[in-house]
Amino acid sequence: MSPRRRREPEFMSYYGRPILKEPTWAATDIAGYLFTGGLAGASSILAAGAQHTGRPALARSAKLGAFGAIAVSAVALVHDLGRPSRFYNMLRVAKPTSPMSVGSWLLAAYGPLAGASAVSDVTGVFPAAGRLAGDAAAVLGSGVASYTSVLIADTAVPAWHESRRELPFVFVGSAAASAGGFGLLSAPLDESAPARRTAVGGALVELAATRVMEGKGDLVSETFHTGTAGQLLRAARVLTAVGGAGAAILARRSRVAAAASGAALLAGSALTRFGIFAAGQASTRDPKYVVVPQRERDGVRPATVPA
Amino acid sequence: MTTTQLGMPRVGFFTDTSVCIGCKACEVACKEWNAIPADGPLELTGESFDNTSALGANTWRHVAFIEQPAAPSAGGEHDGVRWLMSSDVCKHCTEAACLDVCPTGALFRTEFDTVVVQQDVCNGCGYCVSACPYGVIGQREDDGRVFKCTMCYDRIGVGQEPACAKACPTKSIQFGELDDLRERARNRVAELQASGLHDARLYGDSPDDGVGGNGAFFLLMDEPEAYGLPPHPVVTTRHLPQMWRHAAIAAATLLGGVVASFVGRQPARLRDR
Amino acid sequence: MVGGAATPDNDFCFDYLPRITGSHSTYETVQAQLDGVCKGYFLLGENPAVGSANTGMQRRGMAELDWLVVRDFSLIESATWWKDGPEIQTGEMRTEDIGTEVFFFPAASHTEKSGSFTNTNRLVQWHHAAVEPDGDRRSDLWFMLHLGNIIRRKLAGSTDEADRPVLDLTWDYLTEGDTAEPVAETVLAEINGWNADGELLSAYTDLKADGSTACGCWIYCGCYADGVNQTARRKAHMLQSISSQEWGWAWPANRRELYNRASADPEGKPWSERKKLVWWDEEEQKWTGDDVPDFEPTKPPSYRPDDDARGVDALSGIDPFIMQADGKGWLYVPAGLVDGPLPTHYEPQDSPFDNALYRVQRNPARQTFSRPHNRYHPSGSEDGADVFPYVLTTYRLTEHFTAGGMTRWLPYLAELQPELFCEVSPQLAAERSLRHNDWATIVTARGAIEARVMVTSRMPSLTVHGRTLHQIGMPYHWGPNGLTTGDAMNELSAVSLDPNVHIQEDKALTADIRPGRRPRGADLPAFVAEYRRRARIDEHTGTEGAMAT
Repeated sequence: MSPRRRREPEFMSYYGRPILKEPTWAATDIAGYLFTGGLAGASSILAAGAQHTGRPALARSAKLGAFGAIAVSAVALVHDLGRPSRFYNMLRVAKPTSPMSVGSWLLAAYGPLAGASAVSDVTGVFPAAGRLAGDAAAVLGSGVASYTSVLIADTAVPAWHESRRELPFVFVGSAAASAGGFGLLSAPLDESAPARRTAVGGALVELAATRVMEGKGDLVSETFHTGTAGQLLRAARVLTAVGGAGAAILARRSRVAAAASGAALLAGSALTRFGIFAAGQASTRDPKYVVVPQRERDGVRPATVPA
Repeated sequence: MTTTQLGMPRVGFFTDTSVCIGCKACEVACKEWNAIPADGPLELTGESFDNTSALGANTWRHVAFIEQPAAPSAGGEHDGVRWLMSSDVCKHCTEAACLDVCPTGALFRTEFDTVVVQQDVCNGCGYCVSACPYGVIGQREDDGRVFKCTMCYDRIGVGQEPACAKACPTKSIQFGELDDLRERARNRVAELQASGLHDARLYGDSPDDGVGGNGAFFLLMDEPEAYGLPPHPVVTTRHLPQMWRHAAIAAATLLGGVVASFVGRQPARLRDR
Repeated sequence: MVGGAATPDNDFCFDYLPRITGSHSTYETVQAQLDGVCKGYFLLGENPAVGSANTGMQRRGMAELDWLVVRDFSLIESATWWKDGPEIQTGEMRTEDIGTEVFFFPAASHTEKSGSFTNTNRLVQWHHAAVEPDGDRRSDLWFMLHLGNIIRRKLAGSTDEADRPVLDLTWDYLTEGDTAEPVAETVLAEINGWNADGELLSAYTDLKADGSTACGCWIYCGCYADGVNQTARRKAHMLQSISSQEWGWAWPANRRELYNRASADPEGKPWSERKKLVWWDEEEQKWTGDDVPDFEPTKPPSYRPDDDARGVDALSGIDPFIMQADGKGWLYVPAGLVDGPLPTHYEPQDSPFDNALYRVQRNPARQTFSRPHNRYHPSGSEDGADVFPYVLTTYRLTEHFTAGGMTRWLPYLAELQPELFCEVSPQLAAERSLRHNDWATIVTARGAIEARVMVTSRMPSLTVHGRTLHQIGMPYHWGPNGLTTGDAMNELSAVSLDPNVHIQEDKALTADIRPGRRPRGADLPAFVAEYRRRARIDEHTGTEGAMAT
């Protein structure tokens, strides 16, 4: 399914100018948030599971990981705003048509819960309430890890919108891989089996879903294979595959191997998000990604400049 | 009759580019009325007489110039060249993606069915910028908020027409009740077609299109993409139910999958407790 | 204007009026500057360093003045040439050597002052000040009034007869406000004229030769009829008939269409119902209609003059062109024009082609000025014409206005057309290796400028006399001052004038074009000099047959 077999399509444009605006979002902030949000949400599920199955070290590290990741997320999200001091306007309305509104409310609930769970675990205060908070954070965490796919797909950005069916699975797979990887990094071997399984399962889902997303052979999917995005996604694929294999085969017995696999999975997950982000940006820069698919969708050959 | 939620006739723009003379009075009138800063470096773009290039936070009316080789039979041809001119503007879509995705409610639909940004609410999240299928709305770098055409909300609110329509010397930009404008536009296209200008067509006039029809629609003399317009945009919100469904399934899969990873033997030391 | 000083004994001070000693057109004034005859210059909203032909000559003329006064909205090129103009950049002139004392006065704009505006279609419209001018900005009326006051104060008590015209002026206009702005209506009223009782006149037919009436300009008599500022009337055209008599006022006599007798047939009936202007009323025995008849009011259409009729009586009832001696419209002009009697064809001053109609290449009645910085090109088959093989034509853009003194300083307009450009065909671009949106240098015997290149099929290459002619087109609005700056196109043009109204030929020149930016500093005049040398241009080139000075 090499994208290079496609000939450059002929189509009309206005001096080759982009039709769409490039995303105003900074990669560091928003692609970063896609990663940290996924890491946090999936870590909360791991933490709850560890809590209920007597794995206190994994529980603590997963809770702290979730809390840390969501705290960084909040900073990144506020920082990315054009008017950061008006961040609270996110809670002015609750709009289901706006994934960002849904996400803001989700985070508004999830963040404090993840924080309470972590604080309770570390300080030992209100243990019952802390466990309840952790359970709630786990449920909401599944939403945090998946809604971000809708966030970027619910735009006019061709690479993201055309991937709307696969992105949720790419993201939850990536979230699981990163959370599992973090568990492998931070928890002792005798508690890290669930993290290992989550990591391997997540890596498989991430790799499979990404393959489907990238492999459509249409014009827009070339953004996943070329330029910066192509480089990032190729690196992500390698790291995720290596990390997943390491987790499956070596991480059971070797703490070092577990940590290395975990680090690779974390890096792979991050690069996946940055790669998808870059593909989106690239798909807004060339008008062909807007004109050609829209013409083809209607069964019409794109018009060309009259001879 | 096309009405707003309050039962008033919906108003909008019909821009008949077949009579646009490229004078840019609309660009200047808009900037003057709305106190929009002059933007961009003082450099020629090389894009014919268009040095504005695109709509954005600081350009709410943009006049495009297209020089095309043309056969003598083509309308407006002279010396083998046809020079198309067109004033672009925010489409004030019936189904507006910018409005749908705005998380603060800054973007809202007015009593005229136009789409306007409340500048005291917008926190510059930029979601609308990525949602707009026409690439209209933009963020002002030194300000942080997003800006776009308001269809001169303050003017139409007191019974006046928008500044661009008032300034337009050829009545290329027409403002009025959408139903009237659509009928006028249909007649105009028929007139042009009958005189041999077969390229004339309407853009954004149909309520059955991908954005439910535009509150600002056009008569174009070539394909939309020649003007930098998307040929068949669809508001992203149309696919949102499908996206939420997939996300819900994915979330459930994640939850279930991670939970399932705990099934099995407990660690030895824990078992021995 | 001289009020009580005008008496029958002194011929009503008729001799105070300056006599026409010859043409004082703008270009002849520049020659007078170069010759040291014209010592002072007022530029009121005019920018010859950009907008007049041969801007180099304009600046050289100004450099010979004793004093120069520039009134404008911003520091236009004609105000700053002495410190940063092209000749300073090339070293051809040095600021310290220029003896001209330059005064700059910031000017109020049309929204900051009241006054009249007269179009070329004779319509006079009043405009009202909307805001007071800021800072030091003042109207031209204010400037003239107060300058006059200062001069009269300095001359007070003089016994020199030469000072009498200034001292005898009635210069007592009403002023108002903190800035002592002249009440413009009083000036208009004076132009309209009044009688000895101070009553405003209503028509130029009220004017008498016995000193009992005074009028600033007879064609404006009536613009303040009945004591009403007729030029300020604003009845919308939708509420009026075709002549719209009540919007503003037209000189003379509010007559909207000159020679409107021609709108009626020989019987005096309108040719067109839809466009009827005036018609003969048989009952009333006079001309009447929608417009003020431009005809003797009681002369019937049937009137035919006797053989010995004289003056107006010699014009029949079917001779609408009453300003011509025979009342007819003239295609053949036996008198009144320096050239004629029929229009014919000569090539422009600089042309790539020989005149196909005559052996004489150029209009022999044209005015030329043989100056070192006003050299003309060899044309047609003349030796050296191929050094400037292309035609340069000039025009305007929508976004800028004339010499750019207003528009190139406004951000909203500057960003719409931000740089000077020239338009060339793809064929010319190929021939001269010009790249779209890159730079080109355009050169004539007068100067060399640089501009961005716009390669466009809208600028076709022509086939003329069996060979290809490439054209270069460019707008002329740019100059080195302002928000958007660039070279002035008129660095390239020469002064060669039409003999009747002394208008410069700056829309059809020959030139060469090369890719890349122009030379700077001393290299620039050297570059131009080399072109002149190659074309073997001297003081005689292109001057044959002309009314040379």
